[in-house]
Amino acid sequence: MKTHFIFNFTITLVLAIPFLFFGVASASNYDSKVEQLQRALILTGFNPGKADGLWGGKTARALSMFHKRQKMTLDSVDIQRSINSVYELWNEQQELDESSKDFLQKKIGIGDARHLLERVGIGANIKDVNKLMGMTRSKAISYIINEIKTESWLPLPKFLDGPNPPYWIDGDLNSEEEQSFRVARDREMSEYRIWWVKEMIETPSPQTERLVLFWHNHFVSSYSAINEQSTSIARQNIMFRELGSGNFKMLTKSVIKDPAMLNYLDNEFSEKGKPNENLSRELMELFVLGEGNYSEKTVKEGARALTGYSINKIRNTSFMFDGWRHDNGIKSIFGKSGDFNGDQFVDILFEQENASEFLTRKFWRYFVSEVAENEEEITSIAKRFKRSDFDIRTLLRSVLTSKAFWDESVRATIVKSPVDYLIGTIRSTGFLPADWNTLPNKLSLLGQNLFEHPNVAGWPGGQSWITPSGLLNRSYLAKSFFSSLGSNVENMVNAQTAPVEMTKRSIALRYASEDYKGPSKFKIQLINNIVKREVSMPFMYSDYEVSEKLVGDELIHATLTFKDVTSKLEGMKKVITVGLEGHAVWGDFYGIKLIEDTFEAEIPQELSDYKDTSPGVFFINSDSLRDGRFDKLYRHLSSNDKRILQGLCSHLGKKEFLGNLLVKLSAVESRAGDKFWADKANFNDIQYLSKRCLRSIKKTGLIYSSTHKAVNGHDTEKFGRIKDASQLPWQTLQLNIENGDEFDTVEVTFMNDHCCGPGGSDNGDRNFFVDWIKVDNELFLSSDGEQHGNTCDSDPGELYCSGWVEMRKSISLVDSNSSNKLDSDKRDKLYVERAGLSWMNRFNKNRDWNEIAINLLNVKFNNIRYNAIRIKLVKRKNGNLFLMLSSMGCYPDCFENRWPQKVHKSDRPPYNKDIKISLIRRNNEDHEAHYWGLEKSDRKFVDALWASMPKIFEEIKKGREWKRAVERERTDGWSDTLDFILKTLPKTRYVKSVGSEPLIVRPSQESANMMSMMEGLKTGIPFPANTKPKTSLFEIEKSFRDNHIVSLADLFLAVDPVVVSRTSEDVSSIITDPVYNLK
Amino acid sequence: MDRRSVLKILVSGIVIPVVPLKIAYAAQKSGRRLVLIELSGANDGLNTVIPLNDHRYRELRPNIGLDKSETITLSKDFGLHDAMKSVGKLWEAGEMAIIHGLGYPGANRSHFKSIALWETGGDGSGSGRNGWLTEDIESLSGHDQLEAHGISLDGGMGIFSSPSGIWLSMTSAQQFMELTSDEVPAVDTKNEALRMLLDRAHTLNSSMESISRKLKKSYIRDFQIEGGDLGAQFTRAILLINAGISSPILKVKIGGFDTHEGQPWRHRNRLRSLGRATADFAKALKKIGQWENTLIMTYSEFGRRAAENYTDGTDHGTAAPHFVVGGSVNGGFWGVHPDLGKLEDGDMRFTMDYRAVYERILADWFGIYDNRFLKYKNNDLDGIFKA
Repeated sequence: MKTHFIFNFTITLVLAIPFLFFGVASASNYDSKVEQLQRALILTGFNPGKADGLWGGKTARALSMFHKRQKMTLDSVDIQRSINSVYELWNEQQELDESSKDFLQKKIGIGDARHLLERVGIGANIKDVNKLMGMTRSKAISYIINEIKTESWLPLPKFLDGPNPPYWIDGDLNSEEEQSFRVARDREMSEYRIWWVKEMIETPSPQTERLVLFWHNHFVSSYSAINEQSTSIARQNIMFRELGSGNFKMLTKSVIKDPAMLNYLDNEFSEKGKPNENLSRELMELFVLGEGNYSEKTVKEGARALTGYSINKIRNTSFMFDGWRHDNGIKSIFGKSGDFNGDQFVDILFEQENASEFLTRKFWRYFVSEVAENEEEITSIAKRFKRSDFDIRTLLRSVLTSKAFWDESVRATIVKSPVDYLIGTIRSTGFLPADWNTLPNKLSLLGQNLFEHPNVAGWPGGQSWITPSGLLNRSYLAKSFFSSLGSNVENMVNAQTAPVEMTKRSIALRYASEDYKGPSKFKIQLINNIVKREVSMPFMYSDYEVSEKLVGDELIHATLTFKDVTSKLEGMKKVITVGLEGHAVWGDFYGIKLIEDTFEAEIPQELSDYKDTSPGVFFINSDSLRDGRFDKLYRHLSSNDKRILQGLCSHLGKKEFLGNLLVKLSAVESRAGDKFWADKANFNDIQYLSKRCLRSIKKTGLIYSSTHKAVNGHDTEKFGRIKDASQLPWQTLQLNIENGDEFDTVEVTFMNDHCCGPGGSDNGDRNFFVDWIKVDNELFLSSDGEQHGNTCDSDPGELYCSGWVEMRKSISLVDSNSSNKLDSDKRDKLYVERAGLSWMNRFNKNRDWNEIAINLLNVKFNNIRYNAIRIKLVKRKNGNLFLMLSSMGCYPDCFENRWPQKVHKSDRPPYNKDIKISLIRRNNEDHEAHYWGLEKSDRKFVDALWASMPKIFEEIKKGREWKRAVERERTDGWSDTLDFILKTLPKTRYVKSVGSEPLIVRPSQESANMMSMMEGLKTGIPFPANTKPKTSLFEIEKSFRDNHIVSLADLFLAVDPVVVSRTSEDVSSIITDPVYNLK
Repeated sequence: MDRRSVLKILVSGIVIPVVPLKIAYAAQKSGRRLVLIELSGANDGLNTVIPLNDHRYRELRPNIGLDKSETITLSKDFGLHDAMKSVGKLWEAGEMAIIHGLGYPGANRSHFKSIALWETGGDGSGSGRNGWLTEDIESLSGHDQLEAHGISLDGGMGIFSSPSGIWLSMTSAQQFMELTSDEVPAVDTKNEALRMLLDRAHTLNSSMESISRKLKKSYIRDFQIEGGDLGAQFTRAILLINAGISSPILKVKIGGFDTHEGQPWRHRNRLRSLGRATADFAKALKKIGQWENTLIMTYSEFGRRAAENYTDGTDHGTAAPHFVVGGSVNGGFWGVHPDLGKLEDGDMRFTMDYRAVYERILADWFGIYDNRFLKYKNNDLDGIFKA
């Protein structure tokens, strides 16, 4: 929070003067909050001078006047609080003005309260209704406006804490990397969607979200259309909260610098000579003036003014005014001509007649009525809006205090948007459906997929919400709204306070299901694959013999010796001995006898059958297989021994081998033995035991398995398929298990696919999606996994057919926790996450300037850290060969802005600074000055960059951009230069300073991102309108009785119902009346 | 959930006469329909219609270029990818037109943005607000009744964005048939919004009811068109047409054309499905006597780059040819193939604005001469439909 001390304004003023020039890149101490304060002061009759966003004497004086008037203290000033209190005074002034209007002095009743809340908020919560009742309408409006916030009620999702994802990297990723990059963005988007829905459900200031929703549909940008830049679209949404209740002109100027918008309307690369007209056109048609109020010529001129309004991706994907690409020429726009830039273009638009009326009309339709427009009132509101220099609260207040707004005839004249319909119902009833976290998906079903507008004009609203599927789905959702009654939500509420049980292992799985006649079933398995894999190894030997045959009084025994046993595994035991034993009298088979010579290792005594008499003997029989001793033995064995055991069991069980063996054995002296080995029952026993043994071995690799039914799936039978995975109703299943054995593989199996019968997917689809599974602190991403079974040619996490996704690669969620670990990094080593080619020109020796630009991600060198840095390798015609670092190419700022004195400065915005560091020092004096002008630590960093060049080139050659460059024959000409660098570098001061191999590529610190993603899991359920969720119809109805609500129809319906009875006391039927679609 | 309950919820207890839906429909060219096939992912035009004798084609595509033997010859200069040989008969019959080099100024290479342009009739300077044909189709006037202005069989509704009109999505015929209808009453109210809501519910309900009734009456259980998902959509289209359901626009989609890598087998596979499904669809249309009434047109985000990339694929490009097929089409080549010697930053320059085709379809096919795309009218397309 910025804090300005009111009595040191003289100092601030002095500082401000040098920056008082007219430019796009606003002066460094321009503060939009200050401008908002200045504007509020002007509106309230104080004089802060010009609303320029610069904190100066006049502003300070005006604020201090205000404070005196309000008898407030004068120590330090929190600007946002000041803005709020100035607006409070402004609201009081408005109330005075309104005192003569009778209709605004009327006391608010239940119908009025519902009307005001539904229109200016989301739904009408009983708590809010009670608050407003008894106030005058005028007062109630002040109350609403005073509670508009500029920040969200809930803390922002964690993924917005750090820098933005490196969007500049995506061209360099190979297709697998690209896939996981995109999946990560989708995940963030879906997290943000749920966050916003949650905010709308819970916030005590729904009027704030109502405005955000308005701007979300006015200044449209959509996620898919901006290359899935999740953070850009989220930050735009935050910007709407910050500026959406301030000044429309300021907001518009902010929008033309908003990275999501610049991308969406293709202004990012718009440059002199090749202006893109998209932003210019929409600015006039959709944002400020309205269709037909401008000419095609003006579109072209405006587009020129907007050239150079660009994005610097390296610098955290932020706005950059690029003076080199901006068209400085004279433009003529609406009769004015000058070398206008985009901001000035906006200023001119706001001077036009239609500017105030256009937005006023849109507000009217949004807040008053979609069917009736009162021209007289609209004109007068528009005038007032213009007089306020486009103050949004003035516009809002004017609309809410219009006669029409309170007229009975406008009740039920606006079709509820899906947000109104679903989230409004949650707020109005206080009931939270158990599947609330699928709301983004439900909104999408009703046609309002947040952050995915149908086109730049946004959702048309009104009757366009009433589509065939919209109708079907509204009705279905209304009817099933209370069906998830009770216990689920109750449990969720309780779970928030319940202590965590101590178990060996915790599992969390993020999945989504497309249901068809029932939910998906799936199985989670933890597997020790090393164990499992051994089972499939072949068992080979040169010969075997029956080395011992014994027929005693009771005991029948045979020892088999296999010779030259081989296997792919080195060091396999060459001779293996195993016994078969039975009872001579009863003729029963005892079991397969493992003895001293069977394994390399000894059989542990505690597992032996005859612990005391003959240790080291183990019988594979029904007992040992059943009581777990066999499993214990197996786990105890070395890999080789495991293989031996597996080989024996599989071999003994083979029909042919066993048949021959028994013939061999029965053709002996003793009658008893003869009979015994020839007995079919014993043949069966041996075979059965070998099979059981094998099965047991296979199971030993399986550490854990459980089957589940998916919850909150998307019903494809009712609603059709979902095309975009980011819009699936993702769920997280959490479980605790007791088994703590080691595992290396996780498998999630989809068990009950339904699809592709006769007629194809026409008859319904059941599909299953896995995003990730977390086992303790190991996170397995399905995108890094492999799909098996009937894969249907889809990505690993998309189980369109029965099959399973196998995940072995995991990200540890522990390491990143201790960033101290980095302190053990070696001194003078350059750590990067990735080095990739940004661009290179085809080397042309006649050209004065040839360059290769290289991006480095997450750079660390001693105490220096950059999120991203772009270095250029330049070869000049005069032979100079140098590295170049520029202020446009570092995030955060290069050298923390400690540039050498002789730094080269550009004279156009963004007033780029750069330094050049020659490979060979004699080349250039300026370059030497740059080098020696750096602080010691920075100089060493530069040394490291140079010294790393050979390795950097090795790295960038792995990326796609380099391959593209090869394809376009851009790399060929550079080989001499690169060879020269290789040859020369060892002799340079750079290598002498930091050694020849300072670069260490430390791949992805993804775990940090993943950690923050996991944080999202922990947040609980939203409390509708900040009250504990009602969990049953009974509770809801009780809350109405407690609050003395006599008629539910008054609270829920804008006019009399047409189907249900006006006196109905049944909430669940009231919300199914057609009138409930209107507000 | 069936539609009966929706109706109950929306309008039960209210009495108005049952009026069958009357959307007035045009009719100088009564009963004509357009079937749009979206080739999702951006079809590689250069490997669909191949300039056989252009040596630059071989240079641009040393690895993934098609040999003459892998094409079926359409003319002296052009061959068709042989995976599409199933439509060869349509070509021979002169019922398949190929329009060369379609594109628009200010090419956008984002799938999402560019398909939005094709679907709303926009270009690099901005997209349209509504589907390219919604306004004109809704304005059609005449005597016939329509069940819908358009039906999307793949669920995609971008091309039908419109604040009004009856634009339906039908991803399952059986689902539709299970809908049953009640008599639809109404309420007398001065509230315009409420009246609109009830009217619209009524209109949509009777439209859906009519469709499901007709479908039920003529449903053929075993009829099926090959060609995977596209075949399934065409199957549904035939069921609709055969049932006498009047909707001037049907839309289907086939995905998988984004062939950045492994193009040879991927593209072959896609084109085979496209060819087979289209040929079977045509056959079925002929059988039910609807071939002359039906126009089939392909569209796609953009074409692909002229040169292949290093992963045996192609990246996002610009111009591409498209197919216009039907019993009333004058087959053959239309327009001019982009000059492979005059690439612009490696891309083919479009030789005809795609909206010229839209203009011709609205004007000559539907008889809407004063349509949204009049200014793109291109005489090179004169006579593409039989008089």
